[in-house]
Amino acid sequence: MKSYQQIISGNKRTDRTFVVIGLLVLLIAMLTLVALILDLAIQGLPRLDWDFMTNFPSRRAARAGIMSAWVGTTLVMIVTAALAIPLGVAAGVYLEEYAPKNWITDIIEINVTNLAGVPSIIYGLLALGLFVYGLGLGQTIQVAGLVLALLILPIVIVSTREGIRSLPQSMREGSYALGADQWQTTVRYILPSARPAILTGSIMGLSRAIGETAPVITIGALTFIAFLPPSPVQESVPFINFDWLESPFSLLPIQMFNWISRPQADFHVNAAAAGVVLLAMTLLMNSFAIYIRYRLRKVL
Amino acid sequence: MKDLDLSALIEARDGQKPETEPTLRANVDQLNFWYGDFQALKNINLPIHDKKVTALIGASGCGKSTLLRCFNRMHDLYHNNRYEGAITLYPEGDNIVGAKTDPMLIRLRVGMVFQKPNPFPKSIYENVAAGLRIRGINKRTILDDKVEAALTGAALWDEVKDRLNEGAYSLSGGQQQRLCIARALAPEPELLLLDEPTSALDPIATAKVEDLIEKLADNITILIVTHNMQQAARISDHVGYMHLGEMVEFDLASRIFVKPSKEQTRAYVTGRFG
Amino acid sequence: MSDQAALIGGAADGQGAGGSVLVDPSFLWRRKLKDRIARVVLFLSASLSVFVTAAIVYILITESMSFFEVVSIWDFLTDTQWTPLFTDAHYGILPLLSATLMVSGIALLVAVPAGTVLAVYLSEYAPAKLREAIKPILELLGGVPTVVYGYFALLFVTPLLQKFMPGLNGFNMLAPGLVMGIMILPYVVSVSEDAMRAVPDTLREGAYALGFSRFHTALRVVIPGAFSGITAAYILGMSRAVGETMVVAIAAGQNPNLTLNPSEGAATMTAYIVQVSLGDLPHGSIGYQTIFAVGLTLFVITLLFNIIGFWLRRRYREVY
Repeated sequence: MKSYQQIISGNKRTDRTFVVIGLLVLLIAMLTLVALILDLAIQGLPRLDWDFMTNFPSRRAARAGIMSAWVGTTLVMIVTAALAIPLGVAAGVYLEEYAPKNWITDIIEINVTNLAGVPSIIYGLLALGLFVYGLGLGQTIQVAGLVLALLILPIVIVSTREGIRSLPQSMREGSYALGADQWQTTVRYILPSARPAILTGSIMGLSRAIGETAPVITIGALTFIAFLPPSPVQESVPFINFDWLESPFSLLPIQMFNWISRPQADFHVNAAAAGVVLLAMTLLMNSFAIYIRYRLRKVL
Repeated sequence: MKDLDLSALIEARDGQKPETEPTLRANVDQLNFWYGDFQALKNINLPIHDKKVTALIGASGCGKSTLLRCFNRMHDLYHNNRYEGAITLYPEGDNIVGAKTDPMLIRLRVGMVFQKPNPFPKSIYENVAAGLRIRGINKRTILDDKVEAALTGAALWDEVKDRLNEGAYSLSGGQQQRLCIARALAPEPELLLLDEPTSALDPIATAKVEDLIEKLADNITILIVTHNMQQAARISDHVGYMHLGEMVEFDLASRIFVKPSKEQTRAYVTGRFG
Repeated sequence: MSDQAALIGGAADGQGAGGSVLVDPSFLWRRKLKDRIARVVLFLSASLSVFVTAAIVYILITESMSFFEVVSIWDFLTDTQWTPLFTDAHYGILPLLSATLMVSGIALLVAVPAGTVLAVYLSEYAPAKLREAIKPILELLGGVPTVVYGYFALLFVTPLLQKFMPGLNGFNMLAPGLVMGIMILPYVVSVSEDAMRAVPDTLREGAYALGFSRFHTALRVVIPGAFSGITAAYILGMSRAVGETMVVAIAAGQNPNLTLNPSEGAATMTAYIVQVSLGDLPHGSIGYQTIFAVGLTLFVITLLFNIIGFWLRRRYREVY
C-alpha cells in the first residue's frame, strides 16, 4: 500500500499537470485569436487609408474601396436594430412577465429556442423564397435588414428575459401594492431596470448581424455596387426619405468575401483591410457589451 | 419581567387615549386561504377598527403575513392561491377577496409597506410621487404638494427636502423605510398595511418608525404584522394572536398583554413559547 | 364589471379617509385599455417566432416539393454525384453531406478535447478572478465574424499547414475544420461549463473527503454528474459546425467531391447554397430549387441535433 505522503504528492502532481494542460489549451485558443488579428492587421492596415474608405469597388485592386460596403452595412443595421430591438424586447417582456403557463406559451418558448439554433443560411433561404420572390421585395436593404433582424431576434429575447429575471420580486410587489397594473409596472419599473441587460443583448446581436454574410449572400446581394443608396435625409420637407430602403446594397462582409474569392493577391490585401474594419467594429461592440454587463454585475 | 414591561407600556399609552365607541374600517369574516393545497389561513375572523392600530402577532409561519397580504390581494401575483370567505372594506362594504373584485382597484385604496425597504431605483421625489403617477396624476403643482405632505407625514421631509432629486438608494435603511411609508401615504390610502416594517432596521431607526406609526394612527387605519411584542404593546390598540393559521385570540392590546383569556396566548406573550 | 364600478363609484364618494378621491374613473378606464392593447402587442411580438419557424418550414418544403417532382428522393439520397448544373445532371446529396460531416468531424476533434479540458479547468481549477477574465476573451473569440475566420483558414492556416504537408490542396477540408473547431470552442466550453457548475458542491465535497485530488474529483464525480450536459455541448457544437457557411465556402472549395481525404477540397451543403446564390439561376428553375432541397436536408439535420442537445440540457437541469 502507498503511504499517505505518496498519495498526496501523487495527487498534487496530477493536479499540477492538469493545470498546465488547461492553461496550454487556453494559450492555444488565445494565440489563435492573436494570430488572426495580427495576420489581418499586417496584411490589411497598410492598405487602410482615406481613399480605401471613400472609394467604390473597382476592377483594379489598388483603386478599390469600401465606401458602398460600409454605407450599406450602416443602413442595413439601422433597419435591423429598428426591427429586432423593439420586437425582441416585447417578446422577452411577454414571455417573462405576461405569459400564462399553458401550451401556447410552451410552443412560443420552444420556437425561440429552436430559432436560436437554426443555421443562418436557412434564414437566407427564407428571405430568398418569401421576401425576395414571395412578397416581391427584391434584393434590397429592407430585406437584408429584415432577415438579419429575424436572425438576432432570439439573442435580444434571451438577454431581455435574463435581465428581467434578475430583478428583485420586491420591486414588482412594491409597484403592484401601489395599485399599478401590469403595463404600468412593466414600463415604469421593469424595463428601466432591465435596460443594461437589454442594451448588452442588443449590441451583441447587432455585432453578430454586422458580421453575418451567408443569409445576405443567399438573397443574392450584388457585390459590385458603385453607387450609394439615396440619402435618408433631404433638404426639403419632410427632411427624411425612405427610398434607400428599396435600394440594392453591398455590405462589408460581402465585399470582403468577394475579394477573398479573387485569385489575385492584391485583392486579398483589400480583403484583409476590409476585415480589419469589420473585426474592429465587432470586437469594439462586443467589448462594449461585455463591459456594460460587467458594470451591471458590480452594481447588483 | 416582560409582563411588567408590557403592562407598563400599555398603561402609559392608554392614559392618553380614552376609549371611544369603535367604528369598523374592515372586517374579516370566516376567511380561508390556500397556497395550492396547503391551507395557510383557517376560518379567520377579525375586525379592523377605524383609525386604530391593529397588530397581528404570532410565531413565524403562523400566517400573520399571509393574512395581511390578503388585504391588498398580494397573493394574486402568484399562481394557485385561493381565497374563501370575506374581508369587507367599509364604508362601501366591498368584499376585498371577492372573486369578482379587481385586485388592482383594491390596491388603489389599500397601501402597503414591506418587511425590507424596497424603494424604486429612482429619485426620492419620484418614489413618493410613484403612487400618484400610477393614478394618472402628473401635474407638477399637485405632485409637489402631495410629495411634501407625504414626506412630512412620514417624518422625513426635513432630512430630504434639499436632496429630493437624489437616488433613493443614497438614503440609510431607516430613511428608506420611511420613504416607503411616504410612498404608501401619498395616495392617501383608506387602510395601511405594514408587514414587519422595522425588522430590517436598527434600534434607532425602529424607534423613529414606531413614533411615526403612533402619529399616523390619528388619521389612518393601520394593520401591522410584527414579531416584536414590545412593539405591538407600544403602538397597537388591538392585537390578534395567531397560531398555525388560526386566530387564537383577538382583543384590546391592554387585555392581550395583561390578562389574555387563553393560556396559549399568555404563553406566547410572556415569551414562554414561540 | 358591476363590482368594479361599485368600487370606483363608492370610492369617488370619498367618505372616511376617502383616499380614492385621487382616482379618476376615466383614467382607470383608459389605463385598462392600454394594458389590454399592450398585452396583445406583446403577445403578437412573442408569437412572431412561431410564424418565422412556420415560414421557414413552409418555404423549404414547398420549394423542395417542386424539386422532388423531378428528382426522386431515392436518387437524392443514394446517388454519389452532385452535378445539377451539368448537362448530365446528377442530384446525389452524398458528396455534399460527406464533406459537411468531414469538416464538422474535424472541428469536433478540436473542440471536444479542448472544450472539455477548458471547461473542467474553468469550473474546477481556475480562481474566480481568472475565470472572470477568461470568459470575455472566449466570448470575443466567438464574436469574430465567420467571413474573417474564412479568410484566416484560407490565407493563414492553409499556407501554414502546407509547410508541413506538401500534398495539401489550396482548398481543403482540414484547415476549415481546424478553424471551425476554434470557432465553436467558446460555445462548447460555455455549455459544458454550465453543466459542470450545476453539479452540486456536496458531491465534490464528498469526493474531497475521500482524499480525491481535484483531477480525480473532476473525472469521477463532476464529469459523470454533468455527462448529459457535456454531451449536449458536443451535439449543439456539431449542429453549429454543420450549419456554418462562410469558413467552408471560402476555404474548402466549391467542388462536390465524395472523398474521405481531408487534404482535398470538397463543397459542403452550405458552400453549395452560397455557390448557387452567387450565380444567377432563374427563379423557379431546377437549379434554384436544389438549394431549397439542400437547405431542407440541412435544416432537418440541425433540428435533430438541436432537439437531442436541448433534451439532454433540460435533463441535467431537472436532475439538480
